[in-house]
Amino acid sequence: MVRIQDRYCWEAEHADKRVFRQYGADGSENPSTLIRPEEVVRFSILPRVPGLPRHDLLMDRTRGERFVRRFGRGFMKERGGGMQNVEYLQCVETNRYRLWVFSSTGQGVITHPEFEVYL
Amino acid sequence: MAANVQIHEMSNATTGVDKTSGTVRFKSADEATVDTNNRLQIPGAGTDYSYTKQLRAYFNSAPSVDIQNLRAYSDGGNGFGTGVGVQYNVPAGGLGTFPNVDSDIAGTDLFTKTSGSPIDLDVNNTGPHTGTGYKGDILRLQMTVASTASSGQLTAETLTVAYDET
Repeated sequence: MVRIQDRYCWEAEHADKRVFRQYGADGSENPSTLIRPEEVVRFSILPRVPGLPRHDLLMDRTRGERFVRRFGRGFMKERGGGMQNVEYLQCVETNRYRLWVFSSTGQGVITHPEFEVYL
Repeated sequence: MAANVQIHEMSNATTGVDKTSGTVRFKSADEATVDTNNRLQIPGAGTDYSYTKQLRAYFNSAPSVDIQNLRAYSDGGNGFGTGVGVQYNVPAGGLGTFPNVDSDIAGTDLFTKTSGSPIDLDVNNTGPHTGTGYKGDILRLQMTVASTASSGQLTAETLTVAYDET
């Protein structure tokens, strides 16, 4: 069973067409700090389990749109049965908006870039 | 892979019990066992205090880069009923206050802390946090039972811990 925080991974494409992936072909992991934000033209949140949708963001750099960063937000809740990870949001932040993807359902929510989602 | 973050119930600053599958149960004894022994008593007058519970994040596996913005909050509604409350503090220095006590810690009402105004658990042990082990601050909780409370077993309330991972 894939943990909720591992249901999605990321992929970033730079203007020179180089693609940076979270996981290499050998399964090794690359940190998102390798991404050069000013060069990103596409950022994708990709499912690692069947049934979840992918999400792609295209940066229109000619109109000043820029990738800022990517992070995950984990939520652990104690409801009387233990402190469990119940949701994990993948967040992609640009200078114009944030895309939040729910790892449990694949739902996407777009907010202002300074808006914080807490569940 | 994303980090494996656990919440531990601490018996001292660097030793605790993983609460991934176990309830945090307020008791009249200083122990983490989940059973119906050492129940809290409704006092004839005044307020009875549980032994404190001290919770801290434990990284069982490391994040790819780091984790920051450790936060804790309630749902904002005290469902325990009249006369029962939970108060908290974040001990200065981040190392907690041990051993646990059953005297009034004079903390803040946990149910005033919601997702819009969460408890900051990076105040003393500031992030970003890397590697494995105990990270961030200790959240010290204590249940209070006043003479106006009703007897019986309570329905669990929700505590949320959130974190940002890069």
